[in-house]
Amino acid sequence: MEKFIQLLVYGLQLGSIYALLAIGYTMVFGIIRMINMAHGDFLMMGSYAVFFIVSLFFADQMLGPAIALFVILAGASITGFIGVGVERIAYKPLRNRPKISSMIAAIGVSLFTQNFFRAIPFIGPNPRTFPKLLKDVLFYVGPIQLSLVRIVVIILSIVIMSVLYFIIMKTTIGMEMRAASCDKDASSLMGINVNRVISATFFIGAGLAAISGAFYANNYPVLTVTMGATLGNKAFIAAVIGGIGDIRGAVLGGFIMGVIEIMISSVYSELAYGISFVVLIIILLLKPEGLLGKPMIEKV
Amino acid sequence: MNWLRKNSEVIILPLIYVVIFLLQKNKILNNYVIQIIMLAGVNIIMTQSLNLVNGMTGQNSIGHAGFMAVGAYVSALFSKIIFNAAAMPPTMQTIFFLLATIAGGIGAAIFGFLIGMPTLRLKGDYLAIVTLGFGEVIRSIIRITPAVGAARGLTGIPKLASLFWIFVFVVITIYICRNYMDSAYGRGCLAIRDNEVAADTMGINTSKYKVQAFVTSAFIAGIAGSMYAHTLRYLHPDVFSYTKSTDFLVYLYAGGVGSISGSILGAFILTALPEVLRFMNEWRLVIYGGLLVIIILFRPVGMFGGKEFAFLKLKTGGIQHIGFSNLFQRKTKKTIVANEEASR
Amino acid sequence: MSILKADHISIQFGGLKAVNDFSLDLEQKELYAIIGPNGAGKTTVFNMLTGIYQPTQGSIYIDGKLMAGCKPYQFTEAGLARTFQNIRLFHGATVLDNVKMAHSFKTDYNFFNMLSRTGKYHAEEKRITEKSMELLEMFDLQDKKNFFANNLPYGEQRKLEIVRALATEPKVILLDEPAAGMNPNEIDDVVSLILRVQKDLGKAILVIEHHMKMVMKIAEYIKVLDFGETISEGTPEKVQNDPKVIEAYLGGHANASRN
Repeated sequence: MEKFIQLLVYGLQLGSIYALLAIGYTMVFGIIRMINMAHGDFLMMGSYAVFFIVSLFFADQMLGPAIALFVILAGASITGFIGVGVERIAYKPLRNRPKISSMIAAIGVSLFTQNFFRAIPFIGPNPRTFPKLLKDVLFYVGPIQLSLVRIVVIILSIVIMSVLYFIIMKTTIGMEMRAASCDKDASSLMGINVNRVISATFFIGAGLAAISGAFYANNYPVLTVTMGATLGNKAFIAAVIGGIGDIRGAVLGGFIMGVIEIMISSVYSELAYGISFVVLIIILLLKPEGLLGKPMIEKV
Repeated sequence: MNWLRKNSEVIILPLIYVVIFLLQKNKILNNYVIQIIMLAGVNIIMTQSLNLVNGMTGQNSIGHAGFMAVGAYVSALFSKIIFNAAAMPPTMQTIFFLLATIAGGIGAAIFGFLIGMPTLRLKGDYLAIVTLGFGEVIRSIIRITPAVGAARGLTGIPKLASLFWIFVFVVITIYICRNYMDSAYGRGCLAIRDNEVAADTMGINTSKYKVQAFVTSAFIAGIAGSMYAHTLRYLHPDVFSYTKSTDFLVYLYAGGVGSISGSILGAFILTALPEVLRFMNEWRLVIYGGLLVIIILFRPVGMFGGKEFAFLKLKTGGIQHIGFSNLFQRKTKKTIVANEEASR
Repeated sequence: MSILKADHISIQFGGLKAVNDFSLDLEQKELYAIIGPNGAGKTTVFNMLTGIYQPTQGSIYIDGKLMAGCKPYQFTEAGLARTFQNIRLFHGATVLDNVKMAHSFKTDYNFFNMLSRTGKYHAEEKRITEKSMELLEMFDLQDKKNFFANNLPYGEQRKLEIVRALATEPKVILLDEPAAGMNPNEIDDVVSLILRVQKDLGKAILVIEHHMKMVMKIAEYIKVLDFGETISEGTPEKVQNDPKVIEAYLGGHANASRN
């Protein structure tokens, strides 16, 4: 039982990382119906951004919680702007093309960024060690050993997701996003600046990816240029499981993926990656639109 | 003579092989270059296979390396573990190589059927997600199966594939795909791609046509897998990762999706390109990625989209014919292409 | 012997009854029309008659064959073809290929004949091409056979849709607003085309149309739908003078003046 709760905490923490990443997939899909294959690379860029901020300004210091949070947010906004730039350059011209074109463009972007980061001298092909942002404190609840940083990551993720949900449901830009995801043409006729909405979506998506990158790197402190690919795939699955296009679905899917993965790897670690896809395929066969997704009806 | 003029490919295709063969014999092309050419052949077969699904039927498979993995491992099992082909006389080796290849193709086709049957019924992009998942599941299964070397990889596969056989299979694949596209089966698939609802009401059993194309495609991918296994003689599950699948997607879409010639040229050029760019060291893949984005941005139909080699004699699709048989044919086939850009 | 028979069909989407208790009995060479205001459920009737939607109640017979649970392609196999309100051509294919595509399900060679290109394949392809060209010539589209379908002018796209539907060799053909968006001259062309299909080719036709003049000219029998209910039916003269129809089209005013 203690083991189970401990694994559950691990799973929820990994799940919150997936959830943050999956939100980006789902928001981009919801608005421009595109699977952004380069989304995992935003996670990579974000964690590198945080890494460089820390090693430039706070080398060899233990950061306080406030500064750590500030550093992560700074990294997130840098990545957010990169995301906006990527969309403007590589995806925007393809908006009216078949969706697969922009997916191929995204693969190109992914190839480009990964190899670009590998090629530029101050990043290079060798893995970097991510600095500990916070001193971890272990504490006991009864017989169960818990790590403070893990709990903080889970709580922080939930807070961020709630803020995002608030933004989408209650603010003007959120309403514009929801309108644009229903019908881009109609909403631009209603005076919504669709370009701005899409940019905002990419900013938020990439920013959240960066935050999840920092959280991930805090636990698995090895940075490589390809770290985003596998994580990105898993987050994508999470988004699909939850019902792509729905933010609550992405969060739910992310947590499900995280918990399943940790539970299975505690038994047989080689299987974890494969099983998550089996879960995905089963869910899709039973409920093709995902757990929280609505079925799409084609009008004839 | 007239017949030869019309069917110049009967001469030209063997000629291409003879030229490569002579260059190899005379050491003008070293083994490394020949190996690249062989891999390009494998990639051409894979891209053809992907074109049947993504180009012709309009479904999106983004995990095709999974079928290649099945083909590679099944054929390697056949030729190395079940029958020890390495210890056979050359004639028997050839026979067993062909049998292993067919076994690989059938293995992949079975998986294609199992994947395609439930998913292709669904409308929407489920095939993309399920094929992506399938590729990764296969990889995980291979990783934990000791019989095929698990995570260490499978070594010591007999070197049975040769330039000749790869060339033969490339040609066979091209003609199979051509015949497919230029038939009622292919037209049914093209109709589904263009408008699924209309195709359905025109009497086309959409799920049947989609599954047929998908299983054929998986079969061809399995054959490519066998070629790959018997060329490199070493298989590792991570080779067939999602990255490998995206490579084929890139070849297909940069070459020209829906076009057989486009997928041939795309696969060949983009396999060769990183090798040509090798002098740029770590920057070569940066350029490769950038180039890909530029191609998609400025030529969304791909480099050869909407065009076909004249020697394929494709009738379907109102395609612009390009290519070498025009040299021998006095009349070039003039197909009115009112606006090939707008059409795709 | 009725070619197309709908026996009290209804369909419900969630709580909404889109079409209620619709019946139809169409015989050879007959030309029926369905009219009604926007949102009356006309296209929904078509979608049920072609198998795209399954009626929640009632049954459909084509040529005496019960079509319960059948997919659209089986409806076509049984002898029914349709066109669409918003044109649905195979836009990436040429005009000729569009027609050839509609022949797919009637092709008499199997998978291996196709892959190895046996004599049967060549003979069958020749037959299909000839038949398609025949159809195109019949409707004056033969000169444009190599045009991409989406490069045809609007009127010809509609015409091509009818030709494509005919290529499936149907017994009955359903036309969903064949004259939508056309000018009076073009409408005359469509009228003569429809009459040719009916008289010369002997097909039964069911047509949805908003253009009243045209409907009154061609239809032998009209069914009027409003809010999913069949409010009136009969010959054009009878329907034209039915106060219920006038009310449906003009709204409460007619109602007020009548009382």
